[in-house]
Amino acid sequence: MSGESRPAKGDARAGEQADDGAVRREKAEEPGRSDDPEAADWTGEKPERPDDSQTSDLTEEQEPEQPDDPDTEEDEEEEAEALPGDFTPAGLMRERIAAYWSRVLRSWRTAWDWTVGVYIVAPFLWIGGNLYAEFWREPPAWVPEMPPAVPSALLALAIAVFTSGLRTFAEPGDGLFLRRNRAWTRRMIGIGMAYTFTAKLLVTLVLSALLLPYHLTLVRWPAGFLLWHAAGLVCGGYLLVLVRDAASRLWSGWRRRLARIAAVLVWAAAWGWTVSAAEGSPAVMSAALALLIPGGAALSVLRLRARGTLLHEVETERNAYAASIGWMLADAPPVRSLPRGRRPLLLRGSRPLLPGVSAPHRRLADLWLKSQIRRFETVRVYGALFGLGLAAVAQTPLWLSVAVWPALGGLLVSWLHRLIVQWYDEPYLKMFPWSEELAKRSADAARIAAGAPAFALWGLAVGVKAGLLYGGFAWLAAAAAPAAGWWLYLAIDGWMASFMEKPAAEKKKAG
Amino acid sequence: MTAAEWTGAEAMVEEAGYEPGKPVVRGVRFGIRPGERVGLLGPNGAGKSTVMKGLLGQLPHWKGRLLLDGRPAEDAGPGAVAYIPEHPVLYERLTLWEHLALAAASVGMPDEEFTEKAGRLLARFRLYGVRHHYPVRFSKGMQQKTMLVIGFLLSPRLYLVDEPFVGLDPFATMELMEALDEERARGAAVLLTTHVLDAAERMCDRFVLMLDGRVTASGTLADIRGQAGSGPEARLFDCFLKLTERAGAEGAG
Repeated sequence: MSGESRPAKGDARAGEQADDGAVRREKAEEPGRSDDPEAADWTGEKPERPDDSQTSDLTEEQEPEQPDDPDTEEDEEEEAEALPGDFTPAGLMRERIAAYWSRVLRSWRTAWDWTVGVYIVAPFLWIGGNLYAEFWREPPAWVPEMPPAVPSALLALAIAVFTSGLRTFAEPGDGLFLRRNRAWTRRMIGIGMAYTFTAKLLVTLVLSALLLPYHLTLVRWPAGFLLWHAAGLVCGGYLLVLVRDAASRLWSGWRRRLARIAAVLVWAAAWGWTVSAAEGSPAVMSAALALLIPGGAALSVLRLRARGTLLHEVETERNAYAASIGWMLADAPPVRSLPRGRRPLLLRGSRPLLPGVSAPHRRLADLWLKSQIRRFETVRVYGALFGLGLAAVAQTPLWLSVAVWPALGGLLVSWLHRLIVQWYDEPYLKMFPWSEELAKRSADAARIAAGAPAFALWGLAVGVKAGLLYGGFAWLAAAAAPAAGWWLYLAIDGWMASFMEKPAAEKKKAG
Repeated sequence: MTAAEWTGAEAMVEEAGYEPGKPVVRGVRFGIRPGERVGLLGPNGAGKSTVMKGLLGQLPHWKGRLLLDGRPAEDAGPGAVAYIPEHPVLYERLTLWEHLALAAASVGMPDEEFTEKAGRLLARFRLYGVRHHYPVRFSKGMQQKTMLVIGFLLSPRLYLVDEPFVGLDPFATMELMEALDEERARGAAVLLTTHVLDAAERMCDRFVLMLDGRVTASGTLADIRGQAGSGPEARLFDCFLKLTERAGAEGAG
């Protein structure tokens, strides 16, 4: 007997347990298992055999066993069988996957109503669909000239970006009991690997389908080559997940970031090269799959044997959840992820960014600005806003770009204002007694520091456009617009601040 | 500031609770003199944290006042009261040094004073080497020390300290006691809640023992011994047990 204790089928208590929550069932299933040091790492204690009085009906035949006894692991594999009800590794994973998607869909549902469908999604699909169709109907001249390796490498990059790491659906509570059972752990991680592979397959098929017009009409790949291409992307993408997972477990800090980024870039470049070499060469095609498939299998086996991975898996799950719903709940504290490193990647020395921080309101504005620069979500939105604004002033007629420019400034001020209000709602900020005046002055300084440079650059774009269109003295606009933009931004900011939400300090007082 | 410059704090709680019409604390009143340390003690659920939250103005249903120098605490200016919570409250994207800078900005502390005090306190609590790290990545004990440093940085007149010993190693506990001694010499008053009665006995001048939302005993250790009917050598722990058992028996009777 391996020590795996199971109630006999039909046992009334086991039946009750099968109806309970997953955690409780895990406890009942795992009495006395102590062969995984991971459990001890997690709880900080050596696993102990539970009180006999509580588990006597479950452990009558149980014999104590030596930790890490290689012989017992094989036995465990045999013992990981179905219990009454649906309490199996597969059943538990099914429950967890269903619970995860139910949670994610419920969150998405909060952001959806008919107005979103009518005013955002439908126009996006209509306009996006038409643009897509138009693009392939008359592709730009550079598209046919592009070597097929380039879109393949970009596709490999996109697949890596749009899928998460190795999903195991691990939960922090697993460290208490579940992880003491290697057989269950392996089965569950194995199912997680299958899930990850399937997700990779679906994303690959969707993204490959978007490129079909290129592959079918421009480079005219045969069906067999297309299938090989998709298979290579799926297998290579899965292999990449395992490599990045190992890098995350092996290293921390900048080494970890570097290794993860390097792995993606190397894979994309290697896949691009393979595609160019494989065109018309069945040997290369076969060799690529002959490397990727056994490579993925070997890494899977190594990953299944790895120990002490629970914390990493829990972090991966938290990040996956945050990525699933973070786009709409980026500011909700439970969704926000902790910084990955011990020190900031940017502005590492805590030095001020803004001049004049000896004044408290400037210091406060400086701290707000630094905290936002270190938040990837904020930087991404800022970059998108700036890029779209630049495109808007560059692509429209001059008179329209002059009109669009202040409107963009208003949008920017409004967005920055919302970020600042959220900042004052942070629990840490709420601990201190902010005077209304200090809060207002710091908010003004922060909005100007964060928004005025972008607004001035949009002004520069408008000025350059005028210079290009009319030449001569019109080029003076290129020099004058940024400076004028700076003052215009201050005016817009002051005007909007006068009627925007009441200052944070006042709000705090009211709350 | 010296002890002569202020007359102390007075806490008055008529009623406090989390739901309307269901107060969990009633009729609690005590004073804290400059330089004095008062321990707010009681078993779990006695109402200590409720009193603390009420004094900080964080309770939705609260009738009471915290007076400093006989005036409402909110009129005493920024930085008059510092709260050191049991569970560290931190911001994800600021370094330790920036957390302190933000706290200093809230009370308008001049740059030179901030740099000198922050450096000294971080060195004292052995955090100087990690001042450019994210405190959200610290261990629980280091996060607790961060909260202590933030509290001490502000040099308030009154400290409200919730369970200060949770998560601290012996060195940090010693540093905390020494820092509190210095603050006492400065004239600052301390109200602390704790379950660590031995430490409370050593640190506090007076005690307020709460049970079921009311004050059961208060005063110096000698007063508490008298109220508990214990001998002159009795420890605070023994008095606490006696008073709790007596209150339990009276409740049952």
